[in-house]
Order: sequence, then C-alpha cells, then structure tokens
Amino acid sequence: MNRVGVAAATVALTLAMGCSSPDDSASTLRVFAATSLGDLLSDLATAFQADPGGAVVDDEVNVDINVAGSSTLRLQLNEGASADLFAPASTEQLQLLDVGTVGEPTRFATNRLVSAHRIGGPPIGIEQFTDTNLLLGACAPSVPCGAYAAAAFKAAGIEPALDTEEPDVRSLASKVAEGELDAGLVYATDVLADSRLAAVELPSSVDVSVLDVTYPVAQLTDAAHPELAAAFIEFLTTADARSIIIAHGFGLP
Amino acid sequence: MTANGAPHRTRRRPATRPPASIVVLGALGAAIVVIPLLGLLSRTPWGSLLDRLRDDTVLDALRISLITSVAAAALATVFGVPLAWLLARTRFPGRRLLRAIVTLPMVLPPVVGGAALLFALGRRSPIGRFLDEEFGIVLPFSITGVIIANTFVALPFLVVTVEGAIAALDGRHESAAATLGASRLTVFRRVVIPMIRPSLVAGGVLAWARAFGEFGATITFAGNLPGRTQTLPLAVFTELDADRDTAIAISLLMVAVSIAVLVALRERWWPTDMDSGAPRDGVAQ
Repeated sequence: MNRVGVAAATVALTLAMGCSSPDDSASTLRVFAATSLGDLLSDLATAFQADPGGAVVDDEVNVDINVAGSSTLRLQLNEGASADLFAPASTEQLQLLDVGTVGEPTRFATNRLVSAHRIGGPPIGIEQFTDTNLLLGACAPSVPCGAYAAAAFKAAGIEPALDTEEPDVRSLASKVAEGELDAGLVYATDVLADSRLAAVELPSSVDVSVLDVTYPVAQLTDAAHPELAAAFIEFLTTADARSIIIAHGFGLP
Repeated sequence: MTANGAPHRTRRRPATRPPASIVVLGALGAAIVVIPLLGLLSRTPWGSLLDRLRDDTVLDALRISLITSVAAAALATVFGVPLAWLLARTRFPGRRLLRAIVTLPMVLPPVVGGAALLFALGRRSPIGRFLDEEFGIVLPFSITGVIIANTFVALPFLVVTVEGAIAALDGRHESAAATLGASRLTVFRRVVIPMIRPSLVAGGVLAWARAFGEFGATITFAGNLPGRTQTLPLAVFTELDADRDTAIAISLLMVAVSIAVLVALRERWWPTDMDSGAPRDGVAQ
C-alpha cells in the first residue's frame, strides 16, 4: 500500500471510529437539557442509573446529557439531532419544536428569577436596572432566561439599561460572580450553585402569573429508547427524584 | 474535477494526469469546505433577504463589525510590524519564547483568550481597577473591549507573516542604506517597509479577516449587546436561536464581505502566478 493509500485508510478509520460512538448501545438514554438543569439532571441521572425502576434493560444504563441553551438545543433537534428526551427551560421552546413529541410533556421542576450580585458588593434589585452607572446583564431574549427577564422588566415597568445580553444563564452568572457585572437576572438555583453569589428577590408584582419558570420534559417521537425514556420521565416524579430536585433549590410544580 | 485542459491557463506546468488517489482526496478536501456553504445557500430565504438585512440589529452589527475589525487590523499593524522586526532582526534573551507566546492566540481557543483578557483587564484586575478609578474606563462590555479582543486574536497573523518576510530579506540593502548615512529608523521606514509591502498587505488582510470573524474572545470579554458590542458573528449566534432566516441572511452577508475583500486584494494576497515568474506585487485587478 502506498503512502496515499495509508493516508486514505487512516482518514476512513478515523471517520468510522467517530461514527460508532457508544451512544448506539441499547441502554444509553440521551437527554437534551437546558443549561440551568445541568447539575440537577446529572445527579438525577446518577440516581436513575443506580435504580432504573421498571425499565427493561439487560446491561448497565447510561444517561448522556447534552447541556446548552434551550433554544440552541431546539435548533439542533429541528435540524435532526437524535435524542430521547428534551428538557428545556420553558414550555415555549417545546412548542417551537418542529419534530414530534410523545403525549403531554411532564412538568417536573420549577425555578424563579432573582437579581444576583457578588457577595460583598451592594445588593441590587430589579428596580435599579435603570442605573446607567451600574454594569448590568440579562440573558439574550432568544433563550428562556432572557425571555423571563424581559417579562420581569415589563411587569415591573422597567426599561433596563443593560450592558450585555449573554447567550446562556451560566455565562451571565459567572460574569456576575467574577465581579465584571454588578448584577444580572439569573435563576435562584444559579445563585445557590455559586458560593460567590447572593440574590435579591424580585418584587411581588413580578409573581408567578407573569413569570412561571417551569421545566417540562418530553419524549421525542423518534426516540431510540422509548421504554427507557418513559421510565426516566416516571422516575422524575418519584419521591427520590423530588428530594434531589428540592436539594438543588428547585421547586416542585 | 481534473486540472488539465482549461484553455485560459498559461502556466508552464507538466501536463501529466494526476494520480487518481490524489484527485479523490483533493476533491474530498474541497468538499469539506464547499458542502457547508451549499447548506447555507440551500436554506437562504432569497425572497426576504434584503428586508432581513435592512433590520436595525443587522445594520448595527455590520457597523460595529467593520469598525472593530478595521481598528484591530490597524492596531495589529502599528504594533505588530515593530514586534516582527524585533523578532526577526535582533537577538535578545527569551526571543524564541516570546515568539512562541506571540503566536499562541493562533492556536488558543478564543474563549480562553477572552477569559484571559477578562482576568487581566477586567474591573477586578490591577490594570482594570486602575483604569476604572483613575479614568472611569471599563473595558469589558464596551466597543473598546471588542477591539482589544479582536486585536489579541489578530495580531499573531500579522506578526508571523511580516516576520517571515523580514527574515527572508537580503540584509545587504539595509547595510548599504546604513553605509550611506541613513539612520536605523530611516532604514526601517524607507528600506524594510517598502521591501516587505506584499507580506505587510497579506498579513494585514489575514489579521482583518481573523478579527472580522472573531466570536469567542469577543463574547467572553466584551459581552453581547445589540448596538454596542454585538458584532455580526455574535448576531448570527443570537439570531440562530431566535430567527434562523435572519441568522442565515447575516451569514451570507459575512460570506459576501469576506469574498469581496479577498477578490479586491487577490493579486496582492493570493500568489496566482507563482510559477509563471510574474511579480506578485503587480498591477491590482
């Protein structure tokens, strides 16, 4: 075999190895989840792997979690990415999905928006988001945390003087935690997850009627592992799962 | 996709048939670049293209992209040419290490560069605190921050290109000028710069192109605010989630601007007649 042949064989082998990922195994559940659900879902997955309940499986259960902004995940699914479950940070993102889902989505956790600031810095409430002397951030309106922020500003009657619209809630929370921003509208769970952050609650005018942060999960029609997907959704409503959800600072619907 | 037989070709190249394996691999290589572009074109909303591009968000992003990429290319030239000369023409301890560090942004993930800039120039860093307290300047989340992030990623492209050209220069011209009484700065300005002009232009275009497409360092260091720091790549990223057709329209705009610049500078930048012996720095167009 000449050198070009060797090179071609190497390329072919590399491509073949890339295509046969372990995801193809019968017992790997693939979940597309909102950024803010990342830590919670990996803990839930660990608990589920230890005890997959009624799911009929021969070997070990794996849960692959693809974490990104909900709207990015929705785009990937619409363009043909394969997944078993989709757990975005708003029901709107489920409605915008072009590919089919099975049955009604299950609402398994809730969250709330807060104004986060760095511990040691001055607390900043949403009413101060008009102050041009402060460096303030929110998520971009295209991702759920940004859509919630826009709704919160509207309900509070505020025209915010934002300095950045971050593509996902984690990058916003970390910029506040690093002290680059004075405050940002993030989820309460993001503040709990970062020891450098403290929160100011939104005023009571921004209540659940204008800002219902609920996480749905839905099984996709073309799920490769429908039984496993159904078992995981069922697991999310068990007492074990609920205690994990609460421990992460989320609420129950 | 055979290379022989095109009537307008005048290159003196041996007219042999290329080996089949090379043709196949070469065609696959071209496909890697061409297929994604076809994907973009296949989804383009041609009917509403102009209306989508006339949107304020898009025009703002275009303005910010042009300002910041041109400014970054200019800064990279102003600081990069002297740096390239120092690296090529002087000997000092740590020169090779410095050269390696200067080229680092070419291989570093841009988001790492953005984080590094934030740690070095952010409000909590010594430099950032000094700028904030003394002058009230906060670099992150400002258009200046975008320019700094762009310059950081673009500079090595200019330095590497120009340094190679200076190192390849025949030192006798410089010696002759010095013998005739030119000061060292005059030699640099009147002898070195004119002789490396083609590489200088090529390096400048490369630096500009890198800055024009910058995403990771910008969004990490300068944030993303329409009308202030949102460049075209950031607008594509944001719109891809919200309005895919607008994102595609902006992407096409970037492809068009990039092609226009490459075509306008093709004689200088792309050595089209390398093997015919014609001067590279010939008449433009």
